[in-house]
Order: sequence, then C-alpha cells, then structure tokens
Amino acid sequence: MFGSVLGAFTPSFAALGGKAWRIPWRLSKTRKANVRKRLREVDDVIDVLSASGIECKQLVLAQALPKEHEMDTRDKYTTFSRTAKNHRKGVHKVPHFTKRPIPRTTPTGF
Amino acid sequence: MFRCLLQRTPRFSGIWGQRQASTFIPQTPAANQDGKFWKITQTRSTIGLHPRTRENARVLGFKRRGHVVYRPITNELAGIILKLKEIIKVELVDQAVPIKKRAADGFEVIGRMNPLIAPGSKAAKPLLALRNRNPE
Repeated sequence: MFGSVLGAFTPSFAALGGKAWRIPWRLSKTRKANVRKRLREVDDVIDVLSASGIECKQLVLAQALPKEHEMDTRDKYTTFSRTAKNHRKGVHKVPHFTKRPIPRTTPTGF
Repeated sequence: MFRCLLQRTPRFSGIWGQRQASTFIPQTPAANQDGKFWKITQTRSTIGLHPRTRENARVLGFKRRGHVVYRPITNELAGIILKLKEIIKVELVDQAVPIKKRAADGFEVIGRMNPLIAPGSKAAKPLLALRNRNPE
C-alpha cells in the first residue's frame, strides 16, 4: 500500500504524522480481539473433529494444546524469537500470522 | 475431454500410488455410520502459505476462498483438515447438499407442432421426451 504511493526511499507524509512506515511494537485492542477470535475458531475446528469419532495422531496432539481461554496472555500476542531481545516478539511481526499456525506454548526455559 | 476422464480415476501407479489411493475422494461422499458428513468452508486464502499447505487445500477440493466442500468422515481427511485448521471452518451435517434445482418455468410444454410436416411422412419423427432439468 505505502510502497506505491510514497516509493521505497521517499520520506513519509507529514500529514500522516510521519507514521507511514511505523510498525508498533505491540498489538492494539482490536487486533488482540481478532487474535482471540481466530484462536477460538481453531478451537472450534478441533472440537468438531473430536465429535466426529475419528482416530488420528495429529488430533490427539491438537487436543493436548491449550484452548484460547487457557492460554497464557503473552502466548496469544507474542511468540518466541531466537534473535529478538528477551527472546520474545509481537506475533504481528510473523508474516501471514493470521493464517499460519502459531505455537500456543513457549519453549521450556523461555 | 480425455484429460477430464483421467483426472476422475484414482492414480494407483508409482511410489505415490498408496498415498493417493487413501486420500481419493469420490464424487459423491459416503456418510459415516451416523450418517454424517463434514461441511468444510475455506475462510482464508492460501496466498503466502507453504506449498505443502496449498497442496493440502487442493487435495481437499478447495478452489478459492469461500468455497464450500462436503467430505466423508475418515481418519486420513482428518489429518489434512488439521493441517488447514487456521484457514477453514468445519461443521458436521446430515447430508451432502444436492445440486441446485432450476426454478420452475411458468409454463408446461405439452408437445411440439410443426404444421409444415405432413403426418406419416419421413420427416414426421416421434416426439422426443423433453430434457428433464431437475433430475431427482
């Protein structure tokens, strides 16, 4: 969106408050609400499969995952990062994070 | 047309034969013992996703976002659905929805008459049954 209007090397519009290229370090309230909504939708998919009466190893692993209301708050909106400070970064910095599987738990020790 | 016929048959040849045979999806899904099917809707597109994930969506029969697909309840398809759980919505339904029916015409054709053809002549062929637009 901004690449075509502003170009790769031109400064951002003063009218936009100079914020055209800024990526906030944390998610806003609406974005967080949408993250929770998407987690609940995935929980619903796993629930339907559980009610279908099938046997599947991946289903057993999926049922062992915490549900959205059981998840740690920081696991919902941030993910483990090997390179970032404190080994944590905002989940919105993961490309296509809205439709990619994001781990629901942190690796042990982090 | 020949290529269409090939795509409808299960591919049993080669080292991938067994894998494709287990995920082969017939045109009309079979219900499980409770008479249920999965109604699966693709709610997000596969743009930007891993090629294997896109292949899984293709195998399930998805063509585009918003596409709804009815599938039998099997263990193999459950694994594929779990790979796509972030981009689909699944429901348990009682029947695979039939093809849409065409709305009724405001008239009923009871025959065809061409006054130029003399009855008993070579051109006077028997009336053919009209094509049924709503096969049961």
